[in-house]
Amino acid sequence: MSRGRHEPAHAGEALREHPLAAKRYLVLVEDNPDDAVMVRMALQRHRVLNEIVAAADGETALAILTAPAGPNVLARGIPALVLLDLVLPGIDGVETLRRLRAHPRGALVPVVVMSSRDDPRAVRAAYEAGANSFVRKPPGFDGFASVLGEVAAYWLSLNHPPVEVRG
Amino acid sequence: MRDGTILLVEDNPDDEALLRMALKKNGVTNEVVAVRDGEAALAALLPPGGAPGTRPALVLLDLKMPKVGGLEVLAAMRRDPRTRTVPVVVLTTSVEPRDIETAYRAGANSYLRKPVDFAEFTATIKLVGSYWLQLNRPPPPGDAP
Repeated sequence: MSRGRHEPAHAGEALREHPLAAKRYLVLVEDNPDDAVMVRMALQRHRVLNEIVAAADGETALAILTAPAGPNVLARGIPALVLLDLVLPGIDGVETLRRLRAHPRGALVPVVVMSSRDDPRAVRAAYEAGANSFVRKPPGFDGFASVLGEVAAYWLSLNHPPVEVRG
Repeated sequence: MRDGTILLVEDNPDDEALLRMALKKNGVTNEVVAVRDGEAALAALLPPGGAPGTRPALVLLDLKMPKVGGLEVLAAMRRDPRTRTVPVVVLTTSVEPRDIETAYRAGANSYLRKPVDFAEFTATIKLVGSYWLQLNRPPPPGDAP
């Protein structure tokens, strides 16, 4: 690639903003408050303005993502993206994903697993459970922010999420 | 850039040429194997008798094709352990909500509109290449059936 790995990729740069994903919320499933802050800071660095709904465990994430669409705070429609950690209290990330995919609405949600673990077994388990993508969390803020910038650019500017289904 | 073949399933030779140009312009040197329809895609990916077929690093899949359509290819890939977790990016001109939903339900990893403008197409392909061939961790080969 001509672009260096750690050169920032701003969401929307050189790509037409696409109105569907830009207005949608993101769901961050992360139990570590410091890591959650780091995600917010990294997204801010890349001028990502989407609302971020945080869930500190898998059960909370499932409640947000599988609630019927409507005006309720837990029923916002299909998000542009879910960023899912693997190690969570209670049910882990893979089990969260498996349950999400078993739900008619959850089957459509784009999910990127982000983890500092990337041994083949963890990667395979994530894909088998239905991950759209698996991205390794690099150590250190700058590397992490760069990776998250690219994740945001791809999933928020380029990818077309499913449109809302009701019922 | 990670090694691995890109399987392009695209019936339009002009679009194939455009894609190859865009990849080259962005320094993506991965081999690109192009097939013209879903039947040829299935023959490459899922040879009869369970023999191992092509295991590409990425499949770029058009939806509207002669013989076997893109959605049928996708469904067959997801049913078969040889290709169940291979990343598939749908690249098509349609942004019909029904097509998008059906593609995700059939197991697409991502759904992209094929840009008409060359500059936009090049920018799209650049990000597709860097995301799927560099940033994304691919599923390890040898999926458990």
